This record gives sequence, C-alpha cells and structure tokens, in this order.
Amino acid sequence: MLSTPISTASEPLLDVRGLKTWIPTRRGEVRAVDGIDLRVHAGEVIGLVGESGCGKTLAAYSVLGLLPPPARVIAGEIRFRGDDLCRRSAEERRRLRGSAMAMIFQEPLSALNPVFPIGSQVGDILRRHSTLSARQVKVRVLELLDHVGIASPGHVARAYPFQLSGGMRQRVLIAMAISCSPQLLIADEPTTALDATVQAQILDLLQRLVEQAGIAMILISHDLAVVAEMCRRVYVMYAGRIVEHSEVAAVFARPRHPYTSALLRCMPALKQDDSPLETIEGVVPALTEPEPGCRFRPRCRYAVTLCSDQDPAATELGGGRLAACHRATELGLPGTPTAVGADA
Amino acid sequence: MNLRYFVERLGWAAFVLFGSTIVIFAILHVIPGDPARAMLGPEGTPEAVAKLREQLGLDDPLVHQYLLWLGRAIQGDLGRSILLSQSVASLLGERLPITLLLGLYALSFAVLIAIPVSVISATRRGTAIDYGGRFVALIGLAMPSFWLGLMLVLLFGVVLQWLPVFGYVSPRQSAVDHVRHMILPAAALGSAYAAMIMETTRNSLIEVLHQDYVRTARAGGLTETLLLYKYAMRNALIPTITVIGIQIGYLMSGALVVESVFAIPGMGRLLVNAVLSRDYPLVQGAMLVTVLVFSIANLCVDLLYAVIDPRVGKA
Ligand SMILES: Nc1ncnc2c1ncn2[C@@H]1O[C@H](COP(=O)(O)OP(=O)(O)OP(=O)(O)O)[C@@H](O)[C@H]1O
Ligand code: SF4
Ligand SMILES: [Mg+2]
Repeated sequence: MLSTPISTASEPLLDVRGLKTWIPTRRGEVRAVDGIDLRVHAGEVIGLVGESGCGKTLAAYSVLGLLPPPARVIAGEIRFRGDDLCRRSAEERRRLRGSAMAMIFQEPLSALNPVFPIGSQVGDILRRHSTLSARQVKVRVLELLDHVGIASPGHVARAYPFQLSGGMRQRVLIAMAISCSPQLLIADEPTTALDATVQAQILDLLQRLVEQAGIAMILISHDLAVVAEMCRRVYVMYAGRIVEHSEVAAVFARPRHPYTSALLRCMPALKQDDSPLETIEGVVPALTEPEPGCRFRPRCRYAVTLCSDQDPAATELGGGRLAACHRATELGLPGTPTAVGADA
Repeated sequence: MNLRYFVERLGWAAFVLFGSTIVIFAILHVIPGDPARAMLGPEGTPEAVAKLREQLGLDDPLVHQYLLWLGRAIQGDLGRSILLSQSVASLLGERLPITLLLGLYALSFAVLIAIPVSVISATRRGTAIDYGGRFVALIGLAMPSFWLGLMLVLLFGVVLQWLPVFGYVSPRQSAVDHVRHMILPAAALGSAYAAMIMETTRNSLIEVLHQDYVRTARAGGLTETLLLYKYAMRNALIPTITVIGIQIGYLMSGALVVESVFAIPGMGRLLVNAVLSRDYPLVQGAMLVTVLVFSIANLCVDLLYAVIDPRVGKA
C-alpha cells in the first residue's frame, strides 16, 4: 500500500497549475486545455462544468495520466499530495491509478470488457494494488458490489457486461473505482448516458460513497443543477480555460462571467416561468490558433472593444472568487433567484 | 458455453455433411459419360461394360444407389479403388493423416509467427518495425505457395543443405526426420496463412486498444502487459478466428499443391491420380473425407468463438 501523507487544509490534495494539454493535428495544435488552475482538498467535492468540447475530459485524463496519444501535457504542474505528477515515471503514475486516484467514465456501456465476467474485472484491480489472496479477492469483490447497491453480488460477479443494464454497469464501474480506497475520484459525466430515473440513483450513490469514505471528488458535468446539489465549489470551463471559480451558491446568486450567466439561463431545472429554454448562441470556437482577445467574445452580449484586443486574465474578486472577464466587477449579471440545494 | 449453441452448431455441421454427400454422389452420376465405359477404356467390349455396370449397381434407381453408397460409407466401406485395387478406406487411412499433419503444422507455423508479429506491429504502430513486418507479410501473401516452396527448397535444401527437400518420413519411423522433412512444406503452406492472420490480428488489436474498456483497465493501473495479453488480445482474436476459419479451405487446397512440390505422399497426389484415371470410388471417398475434415474444422472454429466470446450464442 502507498503511504498517505497528511494533507492539511492549506495543502490541497490536488493542485493543478497552468496545465496545458495540447493535441498536435494536421491543422495545427488543438489547445484543448490551455492553462488551467484547479485545486481540490482532501474529502472535498468540487464541480467542473462547461459545454461539450471545452476540455473537461482531457483535463481529467491529464491528471490521471491517461491521455490518448498524440495528446500530451506541454506545460504546467499537477501536484498530487504535494508531488508533481508530470515528473513521475509512467510506472509510478500507473501505481497511483486505481489506488490513490480513480476515474469513472462518461460511457458506462462500453467501459467494461465484453469478454470477461464482472468479478474478474473488478478483481484484477484489487489484485494489482494489494496482496490479497485469490479467496480474499473474491470475498472483497462481492463486498464491493454489495456496497454499490447491487442486489445479488454473486450473480453479477459471474455475469458478463452484456447481461447488465447501463445503470448496473455504472455501479460496477463505481465499485472498480473505489475498490482500493482512492483519495481522489474523478467522475466524468457519470450519468449522461443513463435514464433519468437511474441518474438520480447513481448520483445519490456517489454522494453517499465519497462522503462515507472521505474521498475527494471532481464531478464533471454540463448540468449545473447536478453540481449545485453535490458540490461546494465549482470551476466553470470554456474553450480550454477556467473562466470562473467560486462557491456554488455565490456563482448561482451572482455569476461574474457572462458565460456562467448564459449557462445558468440554459438550466431547465432552474427555469421559473414558461419562457422558452434558452441556449447559448454560437458554438465553442475551434481550439487551434485562437484569435486574440477573449475566447467568449463572439458569443458574448457584453463584449466591448477591449475584449477583442486583450485576453482577460483570471482575476481574484475576493473570497476565493475568480473570473476571467474584463468586465467582471462592473457587470451586474443575472443569476438565479435561489441556488438549488447548495449546502454552502 | 451454452448447450443450445453447441447442439445448434453440431446440427449444422451434420446438415452440411449430409448435403455434401448428395452433391458428391450426384457429381459422378450427372457428369456426362458412362463410368463403366470410362473405366474399361477403348478396349472395353459392350458386354464387359454391361457386366461392370451391373457389378457397380449403375442400373439401379439413383436413390437406391445413393442410400446403398451412403450406408456403406457410414460403416467405413468406401469400395475398392479401381486403379490401385486396394480398399479405398485403407488407402485414405494411409494418406489422410499425412495431409492432416501437414495442415496442422502449417497452421501452427502461421499462428506462432503471426501472433507475436502482430502484437509487435500493433504496439509500435507507424514505426519502421510495423511497416517492415507488414511489408514482409504482404510479400508472403502475394507469393504462390508452390513458388515459395521451390524457393525454400533452393535456399535451405540446395544452397545451405540444412534440410531434406523431398519425401516423407513417418513420425513412427523417426520423429526427428519427420520434423526435418515437414519444416519446409509447412513453411511454404503456412506463409500466406501467417500473412493473413497477422494483418487481421494487427488491425483488430489496434482497434481494440482504442476501446473504452482498455482505458478503464488503464485507469485501474493495470500493467501494459496484462492489458495487452488479457484485456485486448482476447477481443482481438475474434476476427482472427474468423479468418482462420474462412481460410481452412485455402489450407486444404494449398496442401495438395505443396504435396506435389515436396513429393509428399498425402491426399493431394492420390486425388489427382484418382481423377485422371477416373477411379470413381476413390474420388468419392477422397471427397467425402475432405468434406468431413472441413466440417469438423469449421465446427471447432464455431465452438472456439463461444469459448472466447461469451456473447456468442446467447444475446
Ligand atoms: N484526438 C483528438 N484530436 C483532435 N482534437 C481532439 C482530440 N480529442 C479531443 N479533441 C478536442 O479537444 C477538445 C476537448 O475535448 P474533451 O473531450 O476534453 O471535451 P469535454 O469537455 O469532455 O466534452 P464533452 O462534454 O463532450 O465530454 C474538444 O474540442 C475536442 O474536439
Ligand atoms: S471579456 Fe469581454 S467578451 Fe469576454 S466575457 Fe468578458 S465581456 Fe464578454
Ligand atoms: Mg468529456
């Protein structure tokens, strides 16, 4: 087992600084993650939100060391328990994966190997990171399956993925992720591919598990309502950058970045009247060779001349709030009347 | 594996086999010419022909003839070879094992070469090693087996004189000599097969390595070795087995050619001589066992699918 240094409140469990993950392509470098800062303290649940294609998954892969080539980290630090992972060997990072840090993926349907029984797949991870005997692994697998709310663990352990529903498969994947008691869990849109009824169950399960075990979780989502319910802090990501960061309640009550405000207007769960649901006009810009100035400018209704000349830096607004907008302090952006379920 | 699938495949194999017996029987009775006349040649008097026809039962109704033939065949009685005046069953019993061994060696040769090469190629995709391996494979695929056989004979037999170039030694006589005699024929027959298996396995392995479940295994910190040989290989072998199955026919027809290049007394030469001399009982018997071998091989492939992929026969 790996040693676990004490992490104080001042020293985050995960401290990402200036992370850039670029992908060389024929049309140039795709700057999928372009200089993000992100901190997670031990046992804390934070949200990472943004539209499709803004770089959430690649940011997560960068932290775990799972980037599919040719994507690679070209700059920045990923400090985990005070240790820069970018300077660690592939083998050292592999040993952390599955044990100290784990991930749950966007697509539970294809995330399990079709030709091996569930029990064997969960067991492989246990065997990799522990010295349990074959018999102990079997017992532990059943315990884990039971722990994630699977009614007949013995049956499911012998089953193959094609015999299970999407929700069951996601439960199995959660069991795999927590099997070696990680300190950090990244859940990448864990419910996007599931039915609405199953979504709530899976989110409840996740919330219960991380709370019980004191696991820190980064919940990636494009659904602000989910984040509001589960997280204390949230990072809003746009086109490879973090554009706003704050306590969830504050973000909902008074967003400081026009993009966040636009996202809030698009939330179906928070809609109060019968007005048609808004969508943010325009699309996420191509991430190769971004134009100078603010990346949100083509879609921003508050843009001024300065916005096309200068890239707005993330500015501290007090109380740990950050926003990367030239007009962050002067605009009184509309939020939502009450932050739903935010426990801040 | 579930029983229903097993019974289904077994039933299918039996059905194919049965259908084949009709075709084999029919071919000889549908092709123009009188077998009796053909057997006796130009000197045969009409009386002699008539006598032979009666002897062979050629004047009986076809269904009757067929059932008689089939019933005997099931009991292992395939008649007597006209040419070699020996029982067809005992002739085939001598020759068939030799051809089967050759096919088996060629298959093993192909798999033993192709699987490691495809792993190396797939994991070093786009490198010189990958291109080199695939280039050699392409050459192996493009060369006819008889030509490759002749080249192997020239190099290892004539120039280097490492291995015998002709003939056959049974393993009971001398296991070492048996192997020495079979290496070149097996290589000649197996090369194109190896090339096909290698290209298929390489491509499917590359595809599988991009699958979500391989990423899940990586996220669990599993080693690349376990990932490759457990998580990826089993899935990647599914298309490989398809290719092996489809190409069993190639292996069998190729064996006939390679046997004549290396003067191996297998089914190949026997069949050629039987056809040339219109030795009908022998031709029928040889075709029958060929179809039998083919059906059994295909059945094995089908069952192998179910062993590798739990979804087969269930879903
Ligand atoms: N192999 C690749 N080649 C080129 N561009 C890529 C590649 N992989 C990802 N990208 C780009 O990188 C950007 C970030 O992708 P990422 O998967 O991180 O987005 P995301 O925020 O997770 O989106 P989603 O909500 O759809 O999951 C996207 O714009 C995508 O087009
Ligand atoms: S910097 Fe300008 S364009 Fe960018 S979000 Fe702020 S106001 Fe809009
Ligand atoms: Mg994603």
